[in-house]
Amino acid sequence: MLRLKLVLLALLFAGFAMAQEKYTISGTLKDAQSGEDLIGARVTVKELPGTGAVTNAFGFYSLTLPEGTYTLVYKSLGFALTEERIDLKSDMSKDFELAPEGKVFEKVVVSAEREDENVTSAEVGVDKINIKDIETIPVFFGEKDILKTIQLLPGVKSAGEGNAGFYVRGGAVDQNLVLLDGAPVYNASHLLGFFSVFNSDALKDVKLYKGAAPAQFGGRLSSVMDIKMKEGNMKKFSASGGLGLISSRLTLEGPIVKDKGSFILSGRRTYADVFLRLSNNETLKESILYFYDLNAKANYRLGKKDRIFLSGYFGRDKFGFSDQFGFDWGNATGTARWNHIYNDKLFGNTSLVFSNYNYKINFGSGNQTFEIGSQIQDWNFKEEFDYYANSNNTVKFGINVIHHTFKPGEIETGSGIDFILNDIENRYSVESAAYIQNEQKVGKRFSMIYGLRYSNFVQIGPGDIFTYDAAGNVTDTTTYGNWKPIQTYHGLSPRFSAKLLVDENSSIKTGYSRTFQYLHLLSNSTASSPTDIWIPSSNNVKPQIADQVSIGYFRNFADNMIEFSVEGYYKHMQNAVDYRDGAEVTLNPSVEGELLFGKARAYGAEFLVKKKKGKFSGWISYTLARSEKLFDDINDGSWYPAKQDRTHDVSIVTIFNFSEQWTASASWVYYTGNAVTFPSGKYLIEGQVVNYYTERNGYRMPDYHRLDLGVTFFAKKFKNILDPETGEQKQVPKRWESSWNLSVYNAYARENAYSISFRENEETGETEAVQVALFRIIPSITYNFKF
Amino acid sequence: MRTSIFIILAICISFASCEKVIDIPLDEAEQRIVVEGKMKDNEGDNYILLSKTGSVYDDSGFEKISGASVTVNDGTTTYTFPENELVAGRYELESFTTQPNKTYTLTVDLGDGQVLSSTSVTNDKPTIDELYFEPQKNFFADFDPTQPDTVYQVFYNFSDNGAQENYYRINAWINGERDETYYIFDDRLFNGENNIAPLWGAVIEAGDTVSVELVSSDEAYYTYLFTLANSSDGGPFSATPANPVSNIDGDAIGYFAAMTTDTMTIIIPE
Repeated sequence: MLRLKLVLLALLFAGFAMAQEKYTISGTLKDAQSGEDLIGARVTVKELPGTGAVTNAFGFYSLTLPEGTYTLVYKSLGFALTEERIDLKSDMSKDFELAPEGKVFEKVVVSAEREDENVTSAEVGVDKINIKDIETIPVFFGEKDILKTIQLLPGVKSAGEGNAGFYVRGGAVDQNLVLLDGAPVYNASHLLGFFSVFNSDALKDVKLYKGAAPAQFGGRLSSVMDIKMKEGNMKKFSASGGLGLISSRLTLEGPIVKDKGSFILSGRRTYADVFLRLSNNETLKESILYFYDLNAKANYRLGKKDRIFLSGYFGRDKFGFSDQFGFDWGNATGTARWNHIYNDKLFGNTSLVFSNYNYKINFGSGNQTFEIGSQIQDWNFKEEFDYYANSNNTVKFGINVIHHTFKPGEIETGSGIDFILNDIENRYSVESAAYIQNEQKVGKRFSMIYGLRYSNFVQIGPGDIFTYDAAGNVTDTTTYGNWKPIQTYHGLSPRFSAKLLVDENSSIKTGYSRTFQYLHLLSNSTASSPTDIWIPSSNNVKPQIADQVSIGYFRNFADNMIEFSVEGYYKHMQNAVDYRDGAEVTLNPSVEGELLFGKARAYGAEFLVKKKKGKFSGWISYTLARSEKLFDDINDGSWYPAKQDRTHDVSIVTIFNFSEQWTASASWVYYTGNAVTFPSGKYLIEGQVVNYYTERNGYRMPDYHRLDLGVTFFAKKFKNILDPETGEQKQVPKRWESSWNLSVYNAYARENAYSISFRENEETGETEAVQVALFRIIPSITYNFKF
Repeated sequence: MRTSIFIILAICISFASCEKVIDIPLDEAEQRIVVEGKMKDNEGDNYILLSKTGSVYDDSGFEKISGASVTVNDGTTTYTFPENELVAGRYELESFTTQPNKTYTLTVDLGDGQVLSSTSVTNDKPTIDELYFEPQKNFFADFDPTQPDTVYQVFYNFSDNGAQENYYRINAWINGERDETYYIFDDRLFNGENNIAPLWGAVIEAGDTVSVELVSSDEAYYTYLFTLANSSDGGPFSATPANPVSNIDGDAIGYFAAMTTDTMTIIIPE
């Protein structure tokens, strides 16, 4: 390990060796129209091809060059290129605002990055989506959804209709770290997965790392989804929104003080219950079924060097029936952040993050009530630095400490209930990490990112801690006091990725990463649901560890109009979790005894062809993959397919811009059915016919496929007026922008299987396989506006 | 307005989930022996059923196992359970009853060299303190006019023995017809306390006679029923389908359970 550190240090300081007069130019890049920071915008030097910098998540860039006169080129896709002559004789600061490009046809591009980003970036296994780009892709109930769109990219798979979450490269749903402005979101779905909790109107940028994630991220095995909220318009007040069949949205944004601070407030609510209230049926009238989201963010510049941000999310699903039964769940997150520019090379970011997910089920009325709840809550402190050592090295380092509280079962009874039900004891833990990473260019063709993350996890008291035997029975109980360490785990996760440019249009990339996961999601059903509970690693549950290697070939054709890539990966996972037969997960104080531990592996190949520009754009993605598990006590200790093992997975997305006003789109998905357990026999017991099983996940659900169609009509964005000076007609943008979106989900009405059960026909007594499909065809219409 | 109502209607129709019978070829599992052994503390309520598994799509009935030698030992005496002359595969002893806090051992000799065995332990005899009822609005009456407007929630009330680890099952009969809901629970959440809970799975109307049997058993029977109720049908909200956890030693599935019980009956007035 010491040798590795020495090599890292040597590489880090390689750039400093050649000392000559060098100066740094730094600053921030913003959108001239809204004042939003530009993430991932490029600053290049005309006189020094291959030299440049990229803005970080807060629009900050820093570039160190030898003394001289240069032409700097500022560019970001969708924005007009800006050039600036500079005479670099001392360290200097330059902030810029880039004007958006006017051409409507360029609207549908699938990346916010530079055009050949996919080839030139050293990152491997990354998907990026710009919110603007998904406007016209057809979606469920017309509700544009970043989480759904990202599932159309290779290696990312939907968990299926009626299931929360998604699978990345054969990993389970709980192996994805979903971050909203740095705050973990523990359950990213509404209405059992039909919608994600992310209201696209409030979002700016989404990045999904499925391969070697940067060292600043950790805590999950399979992926990191880093979602950033908009900051709000710095220039002027604006409103946007949408009216849909089942939900409506409204976003307000504007400056607090022009060019100094801004805010954004975005809300969304579904109203199926409003329609129910119109019903004549007394029972339907009393039904409750809706969800809502609130996103809020504010930022303020305290000077040239300091900026503070406050952002928060609050969302809830409510389901119930008059005052007799209620079931609600939701996330709340909050982030307080302070950006500080220490000097022209060092950018610092301090955050305090809060996150909570909980669910509550209550029944009974008056004072005869029961309430059962469960929650997980985090307090998280992060200190992160970007150090722009020179034009070839960008170093990131930082620390992170999280305090987790787990409340697996809180039970409350009304005053009219005269007996006591005991809560299930809380669990506490502290997860901390420190990391350092360098992104280094070596010559014009080669670049790499290498880093190291150290993480530490301590399960702490108070609590009565159980020890289990091999069969899962409690053998011993030890009581621990407040903050007493119970069990500690730690480990080093190296991260490495490298890119070699083969020629101007193609590159080969490779990556390796090790990841640790200290939290585990337990599900009491085959479909994931809001009542799934998170548990910490403990004296009985070891952290999950994954090692992943990946390699990819990237090539662009036709002046970067067409992108092609193929990536292969192999992932090995230790301490994977599965359940004993018939495990009891809900309200079980000794739930750890229901778990089994084993190994898992996933491997596959991902293909992507994407046409980015022109009237006709879109992509085809195909994934060929395996995901398997090995447990001593399951299937006689042989490898078996994980639920999410999908051999083939295809997505085709096409977008056609007929004119400035009309856009049509279609997307088609196909995947191999999930691995499931079906019976191979039956018997009679307790007076009923019961299925007999021989193998876990030995069968397959039928293959899934679905076509969605969408048409979007944009009202004219410009109007002609008479120029009072020249007397000629000229075009000016309209203040009010609007569009209509009509979409059809499952256009050919395929009945895709949601579940299959084997049961006796009530009349004939014969055993039948009964398939339940959730939807046939769902048309919807949405009106969107902005002013 | 008309259009929007039409759209809403269209959504409701398309939203309704659709069920259909499909053809799924299944493997043929090797036949297994199934044991169902139930010992209670009242006479005439004790039996062992021996049968075999069949294939999923075969509806010709299950093969019974006749001619086995079945005995139950209570630590001092061995009782022989003869096969019922009219019902093949059913072995019973009319006079047998369980006693509290005893260990029972089942031995089944199948005659072909195969011997199956199992043990089960009884706890203290439980006592139902009270049954009572509360009227309630029937939500389903809005959908189905044949249903009564008022239904009754029947509650049972009993005290847990704090000194023992107890596992309970409630069996209920409405006018002699069995309520098929599984009411099974352990005392982890109310150890040593009084427990009141409703028969939430039953539709009870005025004039009904409701009989409730409280069964106290060992963990094995509870685990068997829990895993049976939770993981055998493969619906989306059940756990990964699996065979219930058996307590039979030997090449067989099923359970053997000795239990103590208490019963009480209540009549809902007209």
